[in-house]
Amino acid sequence: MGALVACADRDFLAAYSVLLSREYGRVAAVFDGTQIPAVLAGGDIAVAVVDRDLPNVTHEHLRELLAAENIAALTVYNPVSGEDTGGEGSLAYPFFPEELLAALRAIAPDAGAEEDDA
Amino acid sequence: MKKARRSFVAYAMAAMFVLLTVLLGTVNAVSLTMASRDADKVTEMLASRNGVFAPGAGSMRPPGTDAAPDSGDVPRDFSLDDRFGPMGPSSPELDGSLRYFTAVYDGAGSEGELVAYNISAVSEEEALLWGGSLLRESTGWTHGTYRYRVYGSEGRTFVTVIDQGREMVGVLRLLTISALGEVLGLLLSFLFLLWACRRVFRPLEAADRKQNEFIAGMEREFKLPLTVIAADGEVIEREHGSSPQTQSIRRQVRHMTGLLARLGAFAVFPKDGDAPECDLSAAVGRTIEELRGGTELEISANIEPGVKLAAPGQTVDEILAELRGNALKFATGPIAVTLTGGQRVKLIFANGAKGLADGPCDVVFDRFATLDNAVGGRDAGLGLSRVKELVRDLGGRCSAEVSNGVFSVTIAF
Repeated sequence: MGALVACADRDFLAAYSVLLSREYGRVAAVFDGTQIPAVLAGGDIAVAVVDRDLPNVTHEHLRELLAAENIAALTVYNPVSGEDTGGEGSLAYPFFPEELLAALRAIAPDAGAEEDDA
Repeated sequence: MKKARRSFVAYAMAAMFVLLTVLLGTVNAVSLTMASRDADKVTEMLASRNGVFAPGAGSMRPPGTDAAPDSGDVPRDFSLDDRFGPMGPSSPELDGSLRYFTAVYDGAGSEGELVAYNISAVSEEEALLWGGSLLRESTGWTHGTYRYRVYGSEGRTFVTVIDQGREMVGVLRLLTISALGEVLGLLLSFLFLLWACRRVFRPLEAADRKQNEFIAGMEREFKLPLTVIAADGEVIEREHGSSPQTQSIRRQVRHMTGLLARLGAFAVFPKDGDAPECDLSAAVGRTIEELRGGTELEISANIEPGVKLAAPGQTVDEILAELRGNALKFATGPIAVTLTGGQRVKLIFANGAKGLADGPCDVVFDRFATLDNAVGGRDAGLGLSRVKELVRDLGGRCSAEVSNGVFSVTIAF
């Protein structure tokens, strides 16, 4: 089962594509909301990490698209100081990779790729 | 900014009130003093003549008679120039216009008689009684606008009472106009301040908002890059194994994340609303336990039980976390925490510190300020300034000092 990473920052995509591939196998990386339908059409996506500020798509519409495909989605976002958190299924910048992986396991416990034996 | 605006108006009004009161009070006091002095000149003059004007002078009527005064040569005490101008104590018109009486009493003060009576407000009997009531005095005001003088001559006591009602009208009028003027002046000042305040504070509020927006914007701009750096560090570690450099990346990212959180907290606008009560004794107790877990230094605690504070628990925890962190970072000697309640809640964090000069050091509460023992260290100098902001928002005060090698922070609510 694969993963989707959606964020306008290319460096973020590069780093987390590598990190998530160890957990979920195939990782699709998109930096623009217009690329999402094509990726979803390819299927085989179990979890998605989506930046709340992904350009050219509203976050609510994106969540709807992902929910329609039964894809567990984790929203990553830049919090505004003093305001409420993003709610369940979200993770505020900055975070360490293990925090993101823990959050993904919490929303999709069965979605991880099997580890290869050394 | 609202608080600052209200304080500005309050202080400005207080200053106006004090200035106007002092100024108008001084003017009226001088006016009254001068009126008293003028009256005293008249009573002194009468006292020098045993309570009467020169015999036959002016229109003075001897007591108990209707005889007109002798209009022959009247000895003049005044030069030609004194005849004209405002009618003051030295005016020649005075002897005709002054309303007064003089009573003389024997040594025991029981028998009295009038030696001069030129007044309509009181009868002769009333005048004698009035004079008798003043025998133990020397000089002053009686019954409002009457000035009196008590003096002795040939074993007898004279009491002269003069009516200064007309002269005091001006003084009282000045006093009334001053009082009304002060009230009106304060009201107009208040209205002007309310109008001017908006204009004066608008650029300050704009600058304050811009600063907060800058801090919030900078905080946002740093967060994603930090996330990427942390992820890249993890990738390197997975591909090439852990190394001091990858561990350093992790530490630096943590440090920067903490710094950002503090910076972001500065940009938060304080929210109005009722603050819940917090069990400060319990919170400080937890802080002591955390301190004990973080250092081998001796820690002493003197915490008064049941001390409460009207403050959100999160804010109190943040204050205590900064104080704890400061002590753990810089303490070189025993740490002592004291909490006392009562009318004024006081919290003191003290720790041994080397290389600091004795004396007050409130500079530690300035942003980015560090003392000599922190120079070259990793401290950004934001923790205690954050403490001061939080304490100020809760209506408290912070102070810091070094005494005999012990650095202490005192917070009072």
